[in-house]
Amino acid sequence: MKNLKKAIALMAAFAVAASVLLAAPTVKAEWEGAEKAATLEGEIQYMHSGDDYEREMYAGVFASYMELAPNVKVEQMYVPSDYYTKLQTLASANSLPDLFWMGESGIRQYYEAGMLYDMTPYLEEYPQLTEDIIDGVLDYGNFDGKQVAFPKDWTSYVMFLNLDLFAEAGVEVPTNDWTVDEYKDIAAKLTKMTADGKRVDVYGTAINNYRADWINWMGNFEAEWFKDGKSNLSDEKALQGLGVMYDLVQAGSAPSPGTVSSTGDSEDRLFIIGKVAMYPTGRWGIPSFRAECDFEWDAVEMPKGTTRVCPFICSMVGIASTTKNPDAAANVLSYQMSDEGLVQVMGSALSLPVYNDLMANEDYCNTPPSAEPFINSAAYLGSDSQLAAAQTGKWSEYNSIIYSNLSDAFEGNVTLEEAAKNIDEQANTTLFAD
Amino acid sequence: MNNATTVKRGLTLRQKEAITGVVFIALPLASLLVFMYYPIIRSFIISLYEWNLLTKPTFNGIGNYQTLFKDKVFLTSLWNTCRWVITYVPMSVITSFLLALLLDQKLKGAGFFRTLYYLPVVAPIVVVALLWVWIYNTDYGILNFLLEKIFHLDPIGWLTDSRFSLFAIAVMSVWKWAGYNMLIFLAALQGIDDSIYEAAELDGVTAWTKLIYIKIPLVMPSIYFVMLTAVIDAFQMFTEIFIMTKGGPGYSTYTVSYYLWSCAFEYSKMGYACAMAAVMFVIILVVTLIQNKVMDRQVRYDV
Repeated sequence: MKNLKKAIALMAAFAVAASVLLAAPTVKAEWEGAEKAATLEGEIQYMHSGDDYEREMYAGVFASYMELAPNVKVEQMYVPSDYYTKLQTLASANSLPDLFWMGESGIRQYYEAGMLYDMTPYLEEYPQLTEDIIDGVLDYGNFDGKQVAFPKDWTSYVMFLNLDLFAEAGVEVPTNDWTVDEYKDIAAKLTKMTADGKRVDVYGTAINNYRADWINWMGNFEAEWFKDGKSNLSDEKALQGLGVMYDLVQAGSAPSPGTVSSTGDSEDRLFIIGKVAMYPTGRWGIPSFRAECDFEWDAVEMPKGTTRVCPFICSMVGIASTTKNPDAAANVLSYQMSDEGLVQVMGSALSLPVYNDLMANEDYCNTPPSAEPFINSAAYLGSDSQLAAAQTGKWSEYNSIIYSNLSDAFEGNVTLEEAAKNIDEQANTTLFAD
Repeated sequence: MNNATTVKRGLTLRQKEAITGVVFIALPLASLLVFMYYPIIRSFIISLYEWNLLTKPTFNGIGNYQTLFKDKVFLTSLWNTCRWVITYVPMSVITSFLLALLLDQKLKGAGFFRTLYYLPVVAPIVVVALLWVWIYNTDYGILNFLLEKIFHLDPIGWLTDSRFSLFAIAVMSVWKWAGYNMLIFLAALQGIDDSIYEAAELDGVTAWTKLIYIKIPLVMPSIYFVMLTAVIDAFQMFTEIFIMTKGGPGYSTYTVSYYLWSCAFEYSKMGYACAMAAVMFVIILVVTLIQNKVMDRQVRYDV
């Protein structure tokens, strides 16, 4: 009897192990830094933001790293809110953690203050870091030929679709090759009024007064919206791009951002509750959509203008120049960026790997929604204007100028042309005067 | 023989009391110096520098101040702040005073209404702001619904139309804070001796005359205090804007405090933000001194 129980227990254990192994994600390449990790020692502080889910994911990454580097202790500094204020405070006190996250547009200030370690030699030591990396993503962390920050991931900007609303309205679901004109047309068809005809019940689409939207739409019309170190939103092509957002609001196919915020809500919530049929946003929206949408949904690429540009939205990782243990810090980064490290993070679908080969792998770019729009957008990621504006180190204030003036236009207080003129005038006389 | 007031260690009672007094005030004095006066002085010094927190501050003289008065956003913010003070302070003081007058009547249930009017004060500002965001909602808000039903008015974008946004927030703030000043006024009104009213009634004065010649003069110290603090608070208005409009649409609800916060913590322009704080300090000081001069004549503490 005892033997039978033992046999059953063994079989059960085997079944569990087999299922875990079968379900385990495929790690394409062995991590190249394992041998060195075993020889390293010391303590590394790693500071990052994000939600509680991300905190847990990174806790997992650090735990598995520490198994390979038994003499290295990674201290996770998780900052759920006011991340950049806290980072600046630490920088000001000369107490930066060894590794920390920064937005793709906020690196210059840290670089100019000499606070970032030049990790260029480590790119040579760990070739896997840059092997098959998506074109252009390294540029955002490269200053004067020095790689001072590394893109840990990126997030594609796509259009999410409520398929039930399409079916209800009898409108054909767009495919990845759709155009801006088709988008406007579909948005109008999907917009539904309330029974009394006085208010909009379901909006065809929504816009965000947010950098990803501006960069996407202006880029889709080949606009050089930041040119020769100056703001250039009055450019005809930039106006054409921003005009897509403006026209949708004017036509009533999309709520103005002010209207949405005056509900105390946000555009993504409206999509989740079925009040917006098509919603452009980044991959970060997927976990909420998966958990909360009680309708069929999918995603397609953003509609094409004269071309396509996907904004580069990313968190970069920097190593503090004050680190006492750059070797261990680089080793941790190398592990985080390895297939083994990334697979623990990408399952969440919050972001995408910066490596082309991993983009096509379901374990790193999982579904739903369809992976194709995300994979395709890697081919047109970023633009010269975005890179130049990001590297001025003044993006935050420039961003605020654009936001404030465009909000005035979207609420109908000024025309789009007036708003763009104000933006250029204000930015070029204050921020980019020299 | 030792003096009765001399203690064993040679200290007199007076000296001992003096030491005790110094010890007692040392902690609050130290915290006042460290957390109040030092930051104020330091802020003035930083305002003369360009400093992004990351690099070493570079001396800029009065450069930040010169830039400030050419900065359209600052000038708009300053104008909005003045509009806010002019709109909010009278609305707030008058509403509070009227509520206090109502509650000063010896009516049944006055305690209930006092609690009711005070409730918004204890409600978190975030909750209140979100509540009013819904009241003001263009399409589904109750305010527009009532205006449409009663006056057949088209929906008004209370928070999205730059003509109304600042006023709309002011109304919300009055609702939120009226109960606080109301209590101060009520305490003052209830402190008036009944014999004064009785004497006035014997002379046959009307309720209006009683208000003008008895109540207002006698609560003037409270009015003075409320006006002073309301003006100072109004100049520093930030939270409501931050939650409800983020300064928009456009720059229509940008106030100096909001712009100052943006410069300091979003754009990392600490020197510039400190220059703004210094200008605000001077403005508030001047306005307070003027208020002091004008209102002090009206205030009598000896009644």
